[in-house]
Amino acid sequence: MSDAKRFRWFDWLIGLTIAALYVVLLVKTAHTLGYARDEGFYFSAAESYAAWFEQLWAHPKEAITRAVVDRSWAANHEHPALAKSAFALSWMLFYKKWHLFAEEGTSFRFPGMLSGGMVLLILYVWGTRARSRAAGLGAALAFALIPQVYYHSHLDCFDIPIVAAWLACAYAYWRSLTGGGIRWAIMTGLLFGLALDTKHNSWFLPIAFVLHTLLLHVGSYGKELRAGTLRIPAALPAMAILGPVVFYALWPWIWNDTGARLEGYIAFHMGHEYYNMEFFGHTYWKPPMPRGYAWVMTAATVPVITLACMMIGILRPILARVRSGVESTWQGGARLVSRLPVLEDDRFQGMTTLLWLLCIFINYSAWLSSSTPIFGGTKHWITAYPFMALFAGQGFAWALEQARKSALPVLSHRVLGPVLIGAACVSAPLVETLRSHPFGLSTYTPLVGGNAGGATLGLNRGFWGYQTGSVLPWLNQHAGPGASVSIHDTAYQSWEMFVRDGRARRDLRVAWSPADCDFGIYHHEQHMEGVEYQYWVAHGTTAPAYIPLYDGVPVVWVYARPGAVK
Amino acid sequence: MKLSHLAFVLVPVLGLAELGAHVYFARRPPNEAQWREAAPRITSLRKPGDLVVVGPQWAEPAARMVLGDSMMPVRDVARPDESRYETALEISIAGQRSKYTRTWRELEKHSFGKFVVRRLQNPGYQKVSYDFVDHLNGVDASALLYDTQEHPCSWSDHAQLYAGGLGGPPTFPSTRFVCPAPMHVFAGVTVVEDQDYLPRRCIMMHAPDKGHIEARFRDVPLGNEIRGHSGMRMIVERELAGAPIVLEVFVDGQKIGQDVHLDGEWWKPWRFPLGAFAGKRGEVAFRVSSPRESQRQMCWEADTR
Repeated sequence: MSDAKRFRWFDWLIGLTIAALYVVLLVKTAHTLGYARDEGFYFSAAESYAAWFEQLWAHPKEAITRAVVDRSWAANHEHPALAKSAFALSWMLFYKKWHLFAEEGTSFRFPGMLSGGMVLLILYVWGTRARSRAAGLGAALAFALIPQVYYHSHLDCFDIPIVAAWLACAYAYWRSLTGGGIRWAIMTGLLFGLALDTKHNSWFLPIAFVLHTLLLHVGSYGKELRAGTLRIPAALPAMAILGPVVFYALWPWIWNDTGARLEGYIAFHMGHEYYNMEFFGHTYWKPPMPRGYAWVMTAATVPVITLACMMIGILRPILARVRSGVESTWQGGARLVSRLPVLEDDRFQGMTTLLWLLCIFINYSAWLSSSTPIFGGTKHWITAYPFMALFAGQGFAWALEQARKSALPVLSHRVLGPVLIGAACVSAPLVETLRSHPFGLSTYTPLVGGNAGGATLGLNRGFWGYQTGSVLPWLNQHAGPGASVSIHDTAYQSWEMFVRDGRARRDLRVAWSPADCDFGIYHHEQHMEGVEYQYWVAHGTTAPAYIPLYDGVPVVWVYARPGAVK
Repeated sequence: MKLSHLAFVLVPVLGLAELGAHVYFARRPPNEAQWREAAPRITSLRKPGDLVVVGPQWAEPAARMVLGDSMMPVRDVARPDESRYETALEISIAGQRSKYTRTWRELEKHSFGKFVVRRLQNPGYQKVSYDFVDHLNGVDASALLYDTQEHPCSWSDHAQLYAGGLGGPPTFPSTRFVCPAPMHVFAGVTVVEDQDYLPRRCIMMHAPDKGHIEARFRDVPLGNEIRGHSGMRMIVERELAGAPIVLEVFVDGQKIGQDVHLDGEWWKPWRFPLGAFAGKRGEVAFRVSSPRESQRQMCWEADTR
């Protein structure tokens, strides 16, 4: 069935409803999630950009002078500006002007949450257009209910925004190939520009699309080249032309000294420092990094049923084609472009499958190299997850279809069957995801024995000092007036936001050394154990005063100077 | 109907199995209330001298929280190794054992709630007659710096407490020998992380830029040997960029052995036989030096047995 027949107007309503519910859930649960280290840096940068937006509104001529631009946009210039600009505008409008949010932090985070909702919308739309309504629904839920995705969707960071931009760009590219014409090609170019201005994961987009084009044309490019009539999807030149224009236009930092600043930006990410990351009880801090890291961490943190549905979604059509001896997926795709806009269903499916597979592979490919850093855990390749979710949706839809065809009394029922199978498939990811809060970065699936199993295996129990929010209620209650707190891995700007939001008492002071504090927070990471031992000697005790155990596993704890706990 | 047509049933079954497994794994380790409830019983099972260990290791902070320093003092938690302990109390949760006492003989076993507590006997126990770390104080020991002449370091109970925080040096304790040198050159008991990031209680004596730093212990009842470990905090040593550090050991002024610590040797054991000094009493000196002092924050522990 072609996408036009499959997708109806009310599908927009369904997609928007899923997205809206997710955003509401994120907003409602944001209060208990601690501000991660990097969020603090982006709060500061966003405030600097907000001041520039205000100046641009009030005194546009002054605002675009080099001195003002450089001063305002120098903050955190190792990352492009789009997401931080959105954080800034959200804060200005939704907190300062319209008082929509009670906490400043939530207003900064809101664009990230909207990005999460947008991903679900696109997944539903794409899954429905490309496969079926059940596949679209399954894809949206599969992505939403990955605990680490749920965690990152709360943040004022770039990881979910780049997921949204990556996916949107891929979707636009796909639409441009499936009868969307020049409108979607231009959209692809514009979205690529937005992706470039969001995070450097966007650099992989052209690679994925060029590879896709080459593989689709593998049988015909030779002839076309000889005939001098090489046809290229319009989306690719649109990306090449519009992408850089949008990127440049939306990042004021590169308006001046463009070459040098771009060079600096690229150099920063190509030569990024190797931070520490524990994997199977060993802390990796310099190459060679373990090549199995990305695969193992994916298996350990994405719900098992989601991975299983994904594998069904990937393997079943391929196996079916192999078995039936029909034209292979790749060969079917190879003739695609020459036959546009009329798509035969098998070729349509093949082209789509190829694109999704490439998007997964490209997003994981950097971790085939042992010199690629792994410090960010699963967020490094999180841009692959929507495509995995699309396959998971496909696998889920297959199960529903098989149930309908079966003679089993309950499962073949038109309504009851999908409801029961859906509930069975969604229940584990839903429970795991909701229970992961506010410890999403420390969550492991039953495949490795849950959170305790992850700890036993020596898998990282968190980073970014994101767990501070979980000890603040205790600190607020038990610290004396003016008590000093060593905040360990939490950035000062993140702590400041806790204070501004009223989540940390205003009288609590930040201590810069474990030796000077009344209370010392310890965020567990293997390579940071030395900090815990510093508290032991400074406070004369090995006994934490408080641990908010997460399914029995310590991920953050607090030491107190003797007599400091009230 | 072919059996393969029912393969789809595996999908919802797997989903439900995962849900069950999630609940099982989430509930398996004790929560805080269960730890607190078990603490008095665990405490009552410990006999004097028992080392308290936890299996799995990651649960140890919870045990320390509810059992406190009397059960799990820094001396035990940051022990050099297990050889000095005759018996141990092992707290086992979620069916896991402590790797440190795996070969020990079981004396008692108690199961209650989510806990299995065993008293274990160490087959390799060796009695320590004198622990130098325990005796680094103003009464039993002295310290000095030597460049071209001796400069005594003075014992202080109120020296400036310092800790480097994330990536920084270990805590400079408030009770230490303060030397006429930069603040990081002192003799004092602290805790560093070893190559596995495990805690090691030791005497920190950063090598001075010239000469050596020395700690002397008076009237030590000597066993058959002096044995110990030397190392540095992992974050520094793993760079493999520092100069060798020499730890020399003297008894009554006579050198009985030296350990040259190279980066990458980690928390390294060494032992020096006492020969004719065995069974006598004497003054024992530990001397630390390095050809280049940068980041040469030697931390050592020793005993005689």
